[in-house]
Amino acid sequence: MRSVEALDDMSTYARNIGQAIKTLSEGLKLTFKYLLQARKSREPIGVEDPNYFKKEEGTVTLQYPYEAIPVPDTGRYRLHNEIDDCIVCDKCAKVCPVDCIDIEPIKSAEEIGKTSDGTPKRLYAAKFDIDMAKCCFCGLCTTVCPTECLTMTKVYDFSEYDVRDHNYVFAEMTPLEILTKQKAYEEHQAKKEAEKAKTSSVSKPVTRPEAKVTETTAPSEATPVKPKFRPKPMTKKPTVSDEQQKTGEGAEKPVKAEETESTSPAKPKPKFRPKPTIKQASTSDEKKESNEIPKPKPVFKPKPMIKRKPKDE
Amino acid sequence: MITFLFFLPFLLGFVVIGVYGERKIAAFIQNRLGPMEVGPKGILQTIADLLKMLQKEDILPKAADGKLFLAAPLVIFAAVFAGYAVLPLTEGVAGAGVAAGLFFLLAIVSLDVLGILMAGWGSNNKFALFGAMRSVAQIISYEVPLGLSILGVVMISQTLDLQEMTINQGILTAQPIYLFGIKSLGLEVGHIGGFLSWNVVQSPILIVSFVIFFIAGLAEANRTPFDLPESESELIGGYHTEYSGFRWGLFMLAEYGMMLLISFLGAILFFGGWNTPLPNIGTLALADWTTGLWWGGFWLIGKAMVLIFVMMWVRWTYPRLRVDQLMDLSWKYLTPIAVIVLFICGVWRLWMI
Amino acid sequence: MTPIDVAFFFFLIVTGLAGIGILLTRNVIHAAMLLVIVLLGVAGLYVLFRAEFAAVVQVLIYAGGIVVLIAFGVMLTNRPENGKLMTGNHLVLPALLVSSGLFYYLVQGIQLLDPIATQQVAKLPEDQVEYIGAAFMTDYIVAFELIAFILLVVLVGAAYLAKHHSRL
Ligand code: SF4
Ligand code: SF4
Repeated sequence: MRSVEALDDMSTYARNIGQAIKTLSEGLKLTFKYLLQARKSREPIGVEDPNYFKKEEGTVTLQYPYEAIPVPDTGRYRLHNEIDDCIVCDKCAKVCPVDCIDIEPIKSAEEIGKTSDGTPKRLYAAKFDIDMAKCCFCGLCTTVCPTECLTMTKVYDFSEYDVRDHNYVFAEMTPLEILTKQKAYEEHQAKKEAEKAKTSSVSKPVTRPEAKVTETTAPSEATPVKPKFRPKPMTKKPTVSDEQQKTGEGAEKPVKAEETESTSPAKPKPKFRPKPTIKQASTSDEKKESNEIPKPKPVFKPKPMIKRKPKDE
Repeated sequence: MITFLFFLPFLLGFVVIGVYGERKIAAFIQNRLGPMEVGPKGILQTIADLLKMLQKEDILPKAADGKLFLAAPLVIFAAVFAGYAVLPLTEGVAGAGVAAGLFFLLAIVSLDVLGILMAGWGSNNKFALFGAMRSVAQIISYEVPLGLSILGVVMISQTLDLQEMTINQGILTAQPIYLFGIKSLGLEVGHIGGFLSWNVVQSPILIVSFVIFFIAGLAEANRTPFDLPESESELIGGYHTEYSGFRWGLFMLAEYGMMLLISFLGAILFFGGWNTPLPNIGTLALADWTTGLWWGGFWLIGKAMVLIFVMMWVRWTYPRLRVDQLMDLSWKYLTPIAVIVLFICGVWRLWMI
Repeated sequence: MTPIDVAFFFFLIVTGLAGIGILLTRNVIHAAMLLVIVLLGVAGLYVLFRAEFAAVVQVLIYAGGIVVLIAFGVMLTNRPENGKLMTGNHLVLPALLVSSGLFYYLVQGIQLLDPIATQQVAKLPEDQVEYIGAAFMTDYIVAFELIAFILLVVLVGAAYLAKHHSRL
């Protein structure tokens, strides 16, 4: 009995040794294989590359600042605002779920230029800051932007030592410019006031009346531009302009319409603004009226719509 | 004295290169790149680290036993470095000509346990103490198989003087060397030299001895499968938890010094020391051509580097042992096998040679 | 003074001071470490007296083995609050008597043996290791075997003590 046990023990002992030698050498072989494979190294190929998932050997490290996996063109990282194309409509600031866009507009007495797609600009951006430290990269702001000036770029590496450096400033106005513009507008207002007082007929136009002027001068097409944001006016609702009625489909329609009509300056807005039919309707109304009635562009200043007329004159 | 002047700077240089090599090997085995930033391919990384380390504050914990704490790194480094005193570097250049050189080396290196104990106790930190106790238990345990495996070599080569032992493994020997040490084969390979005259070939049973020696050597040097004393994941660095700056650097130096010492010793005991691996083949007297003062140093260091590489390779392959597995391995496997091998070596010496 | 003499007095003084230190310090660990210095100093003296092998053995067995065991034992005991393990000096008188008695006989013995020892040392061959090995296996075989036997018994005893008693 005893001897059998002893024999058993002995064979376990021998088996242990054998197993240890086998497994240990197995392990060494495996790591040596990896050591040899380290001669190959991963290349910075993007996920579109057919070989992307086929690299199974060699070192997997990418030396990041020197090599980087290419970002697809559709990458949605740091925001960029082409301030020349921005009409300071404030939509992006409104839609942003984390409130990281900070805009300060200055009104101007007349149209100050056109965006590259022909939308007239009537506001100066005294301040256009995006705090990328707060941004959650949801992309909502880029979708609502009527002129497509706010876009997400492929730049994803913009770390800073100070979190305040994550505040990106896009406005290009100098303090002096801001002051003069403000002053100019105030003067303009004052003049208008005075005029109004003189004529007495006019009520005061709170907001930006001027814009209308330009548009109005241009044939009716101008209208397509403003559509989305000024929802309030629905009341009027008179005749709906031809294009407008499609309401729902929004996007392409307007564009087409614009094109056709667009002999005149104002370019149609970007496709994406499909919003509610209602608005468009409203816009159309405005347009109608526009000749006489000034339309209030910006979303934010709702009050004035009523008496635009006087101003235009 | 010459070897002292050679080994001190050599050791420092080796640590710089060794740390870099270790990190690179680790990285490649793990599909990484390792240090790449400082200097081309990162070769200056260790130097940068060294500069940083030297600038660190030398902290003496308030509750520590000052004298022990401060002396410990010096004791450890001195013990390890003293081991280099008896290494034969090349033909005609050996350290202290102690007849009992090998024995002396073992003795002096075992003092490094004292330094570890001093560090562990002196730090007054439970992790340090745990580390020190594990380390001592481990080193004392593994000294047994280490000594026994070396004893086999001593039996075969009939000397404790490392220089003499080396000479007997090459073409410069005065004694006849038979292939595999078997006289009856009648193949005298002394004049052929090369790897045929190495101890592991002269007496193939020494391969087992070498494996035991190597495993025990890893344990003595606290290298990874046996790095329980420092295990960062459990003991935060073990006995050198409380050290910083230069004193910590000395621990590092001692660890790499120990590795290098074990590698040198392995090369000398089993693989012919500074003898060339190339044999004389007919008129192609490779062995004669590659034997000489400078060749000797080259071969010895080359062999040691190969063993160092194996140590690193092993380190990045195996996980750390548990304490009971560690003790099992030493007492239940290595020691009995070493005793058996020792016996076979004796018989071999008596009958075969 | 020859360099040998300088070295001799150096080791002597170091050994002596460390020995006195052991008596005076009350910190056990410090005492153990001082003991290492004493043992190393003695090893140095051995080397000066051409007993290299004995010196190496001294370092290996005593400094590297025995003291480590002592220190290990101390560390396994509980550490007091302040982190320092202290002893006192007890039984001073008996200790003094015993040690001075031993010292007396040691001096006597050395004086008695000195002429013989000097002769023996002169006769020592170069290769001490071989000489010692041969002496163990011939002249001192009985003592050697006895020591080996005692060590074996100790080993077996230790293995027995370390065994799990539940499995007996
Ligand atoms: S991406 Fe989203 S979170 Fe970022 S700024 Fe635009 S709306 Fe705000
Ligand atoms: S939505 Fe576009 S156009 Fe309007 S303010 Fe923002 S960036 Fe400018």
